[in-house]
Amino acid sequence: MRRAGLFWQTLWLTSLMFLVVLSISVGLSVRAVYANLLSECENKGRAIAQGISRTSDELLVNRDLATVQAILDESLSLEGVAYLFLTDSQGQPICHTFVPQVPRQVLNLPVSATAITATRVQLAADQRRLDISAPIMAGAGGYIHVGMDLEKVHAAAQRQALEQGGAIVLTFLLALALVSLAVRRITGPLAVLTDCARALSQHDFDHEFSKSGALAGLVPGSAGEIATLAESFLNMQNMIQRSVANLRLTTAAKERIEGELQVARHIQMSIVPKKFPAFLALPQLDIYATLEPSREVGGDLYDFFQLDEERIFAVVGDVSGKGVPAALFMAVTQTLIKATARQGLGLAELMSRLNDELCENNEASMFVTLFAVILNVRSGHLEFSNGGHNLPFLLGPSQAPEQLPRTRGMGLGAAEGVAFQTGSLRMRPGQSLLLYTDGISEAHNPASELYGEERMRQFLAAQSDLRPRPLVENLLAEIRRFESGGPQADDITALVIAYLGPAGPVSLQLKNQMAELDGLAQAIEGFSASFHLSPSEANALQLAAEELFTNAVSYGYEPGDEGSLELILDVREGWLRVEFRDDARPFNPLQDGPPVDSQADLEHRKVGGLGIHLTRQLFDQVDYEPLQPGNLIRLSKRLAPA
Amino acid sequence: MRPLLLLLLLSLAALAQAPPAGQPLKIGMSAAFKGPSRALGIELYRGAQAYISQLNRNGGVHGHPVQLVVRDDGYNPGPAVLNTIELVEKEKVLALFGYVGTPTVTRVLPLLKGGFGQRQLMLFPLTGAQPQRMPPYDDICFNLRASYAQETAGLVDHLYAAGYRKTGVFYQCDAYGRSGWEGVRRALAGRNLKIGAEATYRRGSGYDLAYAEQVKILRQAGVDHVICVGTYAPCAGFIRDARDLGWDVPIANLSFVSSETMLGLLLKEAEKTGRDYTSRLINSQVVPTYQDTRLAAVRDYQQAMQAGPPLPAPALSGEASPYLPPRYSFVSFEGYLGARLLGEILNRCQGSYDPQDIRQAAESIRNLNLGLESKLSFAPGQHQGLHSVYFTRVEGGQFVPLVDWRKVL
Repeated sequence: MRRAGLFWQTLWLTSLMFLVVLSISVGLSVRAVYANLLSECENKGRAIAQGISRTSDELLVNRDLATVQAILDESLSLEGVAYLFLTDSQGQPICHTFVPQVPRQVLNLPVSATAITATRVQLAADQRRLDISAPIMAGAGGYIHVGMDLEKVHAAAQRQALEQGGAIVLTFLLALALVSLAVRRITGPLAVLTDCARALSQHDFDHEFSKSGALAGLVPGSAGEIATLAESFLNMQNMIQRSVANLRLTTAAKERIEGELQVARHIQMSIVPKKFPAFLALPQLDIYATLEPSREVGGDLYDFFQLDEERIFAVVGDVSGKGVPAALFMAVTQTLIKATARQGLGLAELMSRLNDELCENNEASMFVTLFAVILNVRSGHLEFSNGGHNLPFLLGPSQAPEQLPRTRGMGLGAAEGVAFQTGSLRMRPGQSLLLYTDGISEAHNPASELYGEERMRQFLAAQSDLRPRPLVENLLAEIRRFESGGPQADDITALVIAYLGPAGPVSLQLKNQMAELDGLAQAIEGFSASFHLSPSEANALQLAAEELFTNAVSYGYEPGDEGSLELILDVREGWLRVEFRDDARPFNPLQDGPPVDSQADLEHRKVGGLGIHLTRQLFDQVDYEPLQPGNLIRLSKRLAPA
Repeated sequence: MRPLLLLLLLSLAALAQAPPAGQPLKIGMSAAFKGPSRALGIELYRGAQAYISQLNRNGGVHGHPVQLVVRDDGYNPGPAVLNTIELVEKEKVLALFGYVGTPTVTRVLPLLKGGFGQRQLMLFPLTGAQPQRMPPYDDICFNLRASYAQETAGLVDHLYAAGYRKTGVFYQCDAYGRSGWEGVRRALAGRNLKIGAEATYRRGSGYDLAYAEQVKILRQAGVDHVICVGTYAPCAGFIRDARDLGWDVPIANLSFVSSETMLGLLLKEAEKTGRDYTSRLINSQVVPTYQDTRLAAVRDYQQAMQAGPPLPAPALSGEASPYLPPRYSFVSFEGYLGARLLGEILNRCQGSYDPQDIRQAAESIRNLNLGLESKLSFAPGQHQGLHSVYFTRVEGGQFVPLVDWRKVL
C-alpha cells in the first residue's frame, strides 16, 4: 500500500463527507415527504369525512343504513382509506366497515360537535391509523369517522427513503468513482513525483518513469503547482543525469589515466638509479639517494654515475611544475644528462650544453633547476655547478652544516646561451654532501609553516656523522613528522655522498658460506684497482684472501654452524696490510697445518697446506693470534713503488 | 296543459315505443353468475327462465317472446352499474328484472332514477333491503319478496318468545349486512334490547375461509343465538366453525343465503367429519316451501322446473367448478314467481312497454292470485308484493317448514 497515504485518505474523507451530506439530505427529504404525505393523508381524510357528513344528514333522516353503508363502502375503496364508521350521537357505531368487528380502540375517540378532529390510532402492530371524525348535524346526527391508513404513508415514506437511498447510493457510487478519478488525478502526479524523488534518493537516475514519460506527461496536464514541481524535477533529473554521465566519463578517463600514471611512475622510478650500495669498487665513497613524488609521477630527478676511474658525477634536479608534464620533462632532462655528461665536458660547459638542449623545442616553456657535482674520489676534489637549485649542505664530524657557496647559473631550459659558473672545494674524508630539492626545505605543516633551511640545518647538525642511507631516512622521517600527516606538498628528493677518504681500510663482512667467494673476489678486485696495486700484488692478495676464507669455512666450523668472518684491507705508507678474523674454533694454520711438501704432486697435496705455504711466500709477514673466540691472522706486504 | 293534449302526446309516444310484432321483449338482468355467490343469480335465473320458457312457448306476450338479457356482476356494485348502463343503452331493455343483492341494487338505484333521461324500472330484485322500499327509490322499484326487516323481525319475535335475549349478529360487511343488521337492531329495539355482539366478514369471502374468529367474538360475548346476514358460503363456513368449536347455539339465516346451496355445503362437510351441522339451524324464507304442493304455485313451479331450465350463459364459462343445480330451490321458486308476475305486468301493457306503461300496468294489479296463500296487490306508493316470512329447518337433508320451534331451539 505504497499509496495508502494521500490517495485513500482523500478518498475516505471525501466519501465520508459525501455520505454524511447525502444522509442528512435524505433524512430531511424523507422527513419532508413524510410530513407532506401525512398532511395530504389528513386532508384527504378530512375531505372524505366532510363530504360524508354533509350528505349523511339527509340520508340519516330520510333513508336507511344500507344506503349509508353503501356510501361508506364506496368511500372505503378510495386510496388510503382504511375504515369508515358512523356513530350515533352517543358514539355507538351504527354503520362501519370493520371486519370482523369494531376495534375497541376506535370507540370513544375524541370528537367535536363543531370541528373535524384528527386522532392517531393504533389498531394493531402494523395498523396505524389517522382517525378523522366529522360531526353530522353538529353531533345530533352522530359522527362520521374516516380512518386513514398511516401504514401507507409510512410505506410511501419508506419507499421514498428506499428510492432516494437507492438513488443516493447510486449517486454515491458514481460520485465515488468520479472522486476516485479526481483524487487519482491529483495524487497520481504526486505519486509519480514521489517515485521520482525516491528513485533519485536511491541514485536511480535512469528510473523508468522518465523513459515512459510519466513525469514529462505531468508538465502540460497538471495543475500549476504540480506542473511546476514536475518541471523542476525533470530539470533536476536532466542535470543530475548529465552530471552523472560526465562524472562517469571523467572517472573512466581518470581511471585510465591513473592506470597509465602508475605505469609512468614505474618508468620514472626506473630511470633513477636505485641500486644501493653503489660504487662498490670505490670504497672511498658511500652514496644514497631517494625520490618520492608527491603525485604518481613527479618532476624531481637525481642521478649519479662514474665518469672515469677517479670521478663520479651526481646531480639533483627539480622540474618546474608537477605531474605528467614535469615527469616528461624530467625524463628528457635525465636522458640528456646521461648522454651529455659522458662527453668529457667540463661541468660548466655540461650545464650550458644541457641548457641549450633543453631550450630547443621547449614549447611548454618548462625549465629545470639542477645542482651537479663531480667528485674525485682519490683527491676529494669536488667541482659543482648550480642551475638555480637549492644549495646543498656540506656535513662533517665536528663541523656545523654549511651550504655550498653560490655560483652563477639559472634554471635550465628557460633561456638559451646562459653561462654557468663552476665552484670547487676539497672534501675531507668523513665529510658528506647533501643534495636535495625544495620538497624538503619547503615542506610545511598543517599550520602552513615552512620547514625552511634553518630548521634543516639544525636537524642536520645532529646527524653529521651518519652514513648516507640512515641520514636520508632520518631526514625523510623528520619531514614527515613535521608535516604531521598532512599531504606531501612537493616531490622530495635527497641525495647524500659521503667521502670516506683515499686511504681508509676496507672492511668486508662475510658469512661462513662458500658462496661468498664471488663477492670477496670482486671486492678485492675493486680494492686492488682503486689502490693501484700491481697485477702480481693483486694476485697475491686475491690468493691469500681466498685461501684464508676457504680454510676457515672448511675446517673451522661444525656443519650447520653460522659464523661471521671479516676481511680488513689497508694500504698505507707503501705497505699492504690484511687482517682476517673469524669466530671459528681455534686453529693456527701456521703451526697446526701440515708441513708443506712443495715437491709433492699437486693432486695429492692437502688443500690448506699449499695455500698457507704460498701466502707465506707472497707476504712479507704472516702472524697468527688466537681470539676469544676465533682466530686472527695478519698479513703484511711491502708494495712496489708506483 | 290540457288533459286531452297530454293523452294524445302520451299515445303518440306509446305508438313510437311499440316494438314490431314478433320482436322479443327484452328484459335486463344483472346478477351474480360467477364467484362465491353465483348460486343466487343462477337459481333466480333458472326459476325465472322456467316460467319464461313456458310463456314463450305459449306465444309470449302479445305475440312477443320475452327475452332475459343477462349479465354477470359477481355480486359487486361496480360491475352491476356498468351492466345496467349497457343493458339500458345498448340492449334497450324494457325493464330491469331479477337483480341480486343489496350492495349492487343500492348502487344501481340512483342510476335508474336519473341516469338515463327517463326513469327505469327495477322489478323484483332478490334483496330485502330498505333502499328500494323507501323514498326516493320506492317508486321505481317493485318488490315481490318480504323485506329483511320483516325476516329479522320474525326471527327476533320467535326467538324472544322462546326466551332468547342475547342476540349475536354475523353479517356481511356491506349494505346487505347492514340492512339485515339494522332489521335485527330495530326489532330488538322494539323490545328494549340491543344487539349482544356482532361480527362481520368481507363480501366475497368463500367457504374455505376460517370463521373461527367471528365465532370466538360472538361466543365470548355470550350471545345465546346468532342471526346471520350473509350469503351461503361464509354462512355455511361460520356454522361449520361454530359447530366444530362445539358451539351449538341456534343459528338463523335469512332468505338471501340461498338455503339449498348452504345446505349442500354443510351436508358435504357432515359427510367429511361425521358431525351434525344442520340441527338448531333456522332459515327464514320469503317464499313458501317448494315441497308444499298444497299450493298451486308450488305445483306450477315444480312442473315448470321439470323441463330443467338451462344455466344462464355467463355461468357456463370461466368457472373452475361446474355448478350443479338443485332440483328445486327457494331462490328459483322466487325467480319463478317473479317471472310470472313480470308476464302478468307485460300482459297488462297495452302494446307500449315504456317504463311508465310498465309501472302503470304493475300498479294496476289488485288481488292477483299467484297460487300462494295470499293474494298480491300493487298500487302507486305500494310496490311491495308479498309480506309473508316462512321459517324452515333441515330435516332428512332438506328444508321443511318450521312448525315446532322447540325442535331448533
